[in-house]
Amino acid sequence: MKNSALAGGGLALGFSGFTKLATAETESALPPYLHIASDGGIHLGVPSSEMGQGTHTTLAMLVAEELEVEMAQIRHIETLHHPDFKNIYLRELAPKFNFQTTGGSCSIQSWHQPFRKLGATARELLRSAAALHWSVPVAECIAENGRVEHSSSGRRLGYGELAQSASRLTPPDNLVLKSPEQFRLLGKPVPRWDTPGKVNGTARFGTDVDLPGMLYGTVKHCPVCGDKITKVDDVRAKAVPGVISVIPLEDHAVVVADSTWAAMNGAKALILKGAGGHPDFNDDSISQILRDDLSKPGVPAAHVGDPADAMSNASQVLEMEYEVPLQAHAAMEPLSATASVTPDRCEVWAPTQLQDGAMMVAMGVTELPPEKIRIHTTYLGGGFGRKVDIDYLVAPLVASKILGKPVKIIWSREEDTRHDFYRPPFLVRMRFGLNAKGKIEGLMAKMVGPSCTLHFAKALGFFFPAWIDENGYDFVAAVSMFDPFALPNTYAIPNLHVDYVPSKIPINFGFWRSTGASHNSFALESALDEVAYAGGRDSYEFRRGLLIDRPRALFVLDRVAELSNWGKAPAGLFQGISFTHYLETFQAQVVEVSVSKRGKIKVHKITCVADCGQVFNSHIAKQQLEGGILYGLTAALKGEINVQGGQVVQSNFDDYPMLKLKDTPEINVHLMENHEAPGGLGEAGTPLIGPAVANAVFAATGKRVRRLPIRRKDLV
Amino acid sequence: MATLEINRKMYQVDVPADTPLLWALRDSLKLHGTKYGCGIEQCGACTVHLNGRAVRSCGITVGEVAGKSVTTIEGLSAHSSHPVQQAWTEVDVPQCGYCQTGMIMATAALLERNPKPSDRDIDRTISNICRCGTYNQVRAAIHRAAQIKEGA
Repeated sequence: MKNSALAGGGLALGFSGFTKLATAETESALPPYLHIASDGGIHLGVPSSEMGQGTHTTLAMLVAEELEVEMAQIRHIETLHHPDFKNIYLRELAPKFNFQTTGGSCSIQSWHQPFRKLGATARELLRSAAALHWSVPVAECIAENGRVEHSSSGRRLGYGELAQSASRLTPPDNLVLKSPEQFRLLGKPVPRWDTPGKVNGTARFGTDVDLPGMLYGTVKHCPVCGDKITKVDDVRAKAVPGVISVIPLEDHAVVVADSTWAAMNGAKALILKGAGGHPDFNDDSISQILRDDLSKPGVPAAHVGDPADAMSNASQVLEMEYEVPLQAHAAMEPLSATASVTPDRCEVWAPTQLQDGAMMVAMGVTELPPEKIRIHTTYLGGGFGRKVDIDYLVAPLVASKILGKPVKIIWSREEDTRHDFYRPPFLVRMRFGLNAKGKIEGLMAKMVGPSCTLHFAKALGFFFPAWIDENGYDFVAAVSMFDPFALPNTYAIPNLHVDYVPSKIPINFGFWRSTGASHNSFALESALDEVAYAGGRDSYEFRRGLLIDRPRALFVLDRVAELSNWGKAPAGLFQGISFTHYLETFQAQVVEVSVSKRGKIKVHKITCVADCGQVFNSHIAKQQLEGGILYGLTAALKGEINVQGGQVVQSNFDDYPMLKLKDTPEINVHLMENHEAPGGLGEAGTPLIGPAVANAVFAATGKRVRRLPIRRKDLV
Repeated sequence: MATLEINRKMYQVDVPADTPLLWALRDSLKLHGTKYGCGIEQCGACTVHLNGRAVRSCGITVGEVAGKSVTTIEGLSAHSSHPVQQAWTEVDVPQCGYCQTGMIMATAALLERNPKPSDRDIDRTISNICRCGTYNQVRAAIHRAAQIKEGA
């Protein structure tokens, strides 16, 4: 840790040296992460973007716990773009991936230790400052509730009063963090720090940025995927009152006006001609590519034992295929960003999940060096992986550079839906070899679909194993199908082999909440249900047998069975079960559904049990699981993205419907209590709900769901 | 030029009469608590009160609200003291928060007409979209707000 005295007074701390990339030059030019002002108010800079997952609150709690302050003393929390804030967890997975990003549900895994150390370091400096002031041993100085008290004399000094002198001391080397028994805040349902602003309307999202002299804009893309602009007819667009400029870029144009409404009307009137794309592309082309690729060998994603031998000796082989279509992110806040570019300075305000990517785009557009560029992160009105991509940052930067004024861009919902980086379509084939008793001896699985990560590797100009490799392997396509993290923690199958075939489909694909787990869990959990049923076994008991040597997994599975009254559904209701080890979190769900004669599915109750190790905020943890479940339930029961004539068919919530309050079942989330290393939660709930519902639908109707979303016509 | 009554104050707004109220609020008056989500009255993120009734401000023009009283989240209460805001805070509903001001405005209007809504009433009335999945907390907060309002 490095301590630096601030010009304005107070104590400022950053953990220079904690991450390899922090250098003295960059740190001195950037604000500190923890600042205790002379009035005691605490200002906190954090690495993670706040997009609803509560990371600002949890990171502040980690500091507050060790610093011995109440949350009310945290006056300001901001996501800072800082070289110390490269995503630690993802860098451990893929050392060449070294960026500040919020994705992969790993903010807490990355930052719980550094942020506790940050708080503890500040606490020790403040205690030392008090000890020096009173000329007493440090051991007699107790930090509590934002002040230091001398135990025998009862003298007290507030942190604000001590901050200045603490800033001149050297941070201690040997920090002792609190034990879980000593926690005041961590683990409790502490109210979210961001709630007041989100209840009174003052929380500032990307779309709310407002700068003096700012212009407003929107974008319009060539409708056909892959098309580049060849001709722009902007006569009518420019005739719209308020429209100031139309700026064509490669595959989209920016319309700038004196209001967002004028810009959107201008975009409607704008005619773009494009070429070079794929006007013949449609849903059938996608299915055909996946089907053709199914016969290709692909790259190995998992291997245990001798699966070829196990399959050839099997007394029965069961084979099934599962498919999922494209899905859009549909975050409530459409894409938006604001830029202010002058010849020697650039500022960007963005609801981004990738601060370093925003910096790259800003450097590319402005040709300014990084020290002349500032990336500000606003709240995100939902991210779900969409705002890891950086396409939406180009328009405001280019427009501001050309027009010499700040420009705020807001995409229309239609553009947001039609020009997403979609959850890729996937086809997964599962082939099980069973012995005479119905026990699984071998599994051959093949996942076929486009890589989520490939566009990212192309944009960065390099691959980053063990996430994405030149041979085509993509960890996020293979996740949850016996991936390296899951393998020791999930179903014990003695012989297995998993291949991934990266398909080439000329549409943009990206990271959609739970990425590959969204299709892999659907395939695996449905298939196990089929195997259990084929052998006349109970689906829960069957899973139990495969998890018997995985104590944490077994606890979760048993608990969900107990809490959901597995096997004892009320009359007319039918249950489905699913389990996963994903994001280093063990989780199981049981769902109760009814299906009408007309094929209408009603989900009545969802029981979710998760063991994500140490929980730091139980309210936020439950919010994340519940929210993830409803995100997955929308994808299981509502719309999908279709492609016709090279264009995305859907455009808004009228043709791409979302789950609403009236569709929302009772959801009971139960967290296992332990002090294991924390796992991820942000995406954890999403992948299990689809297969749980599909398995329940089978129990209700005898019809096996092999494609999501479940269509009513398939059930009648 | 249109004259609008917003949050009990009169404003002159220099926009064409066919401009949706949403964009006059956001771009002209800088009342950013009212959000753009879809522009076609599907999601409810832009919900405001027009003479006390919940309307989706993307679907009503500045010309249509002349002479009527508009309330936005900024004018719902001082210091988040409205029962719905109190309940929202107590239940700690928001996640990303983008849809929440619209949810709160829709709920406040519901409780004016129906002080003790049943679950069925809520299902029928609150059709706002939330992608974070706060719906069950929204439902709990609506019931809690009804209690707070009754006790007030």
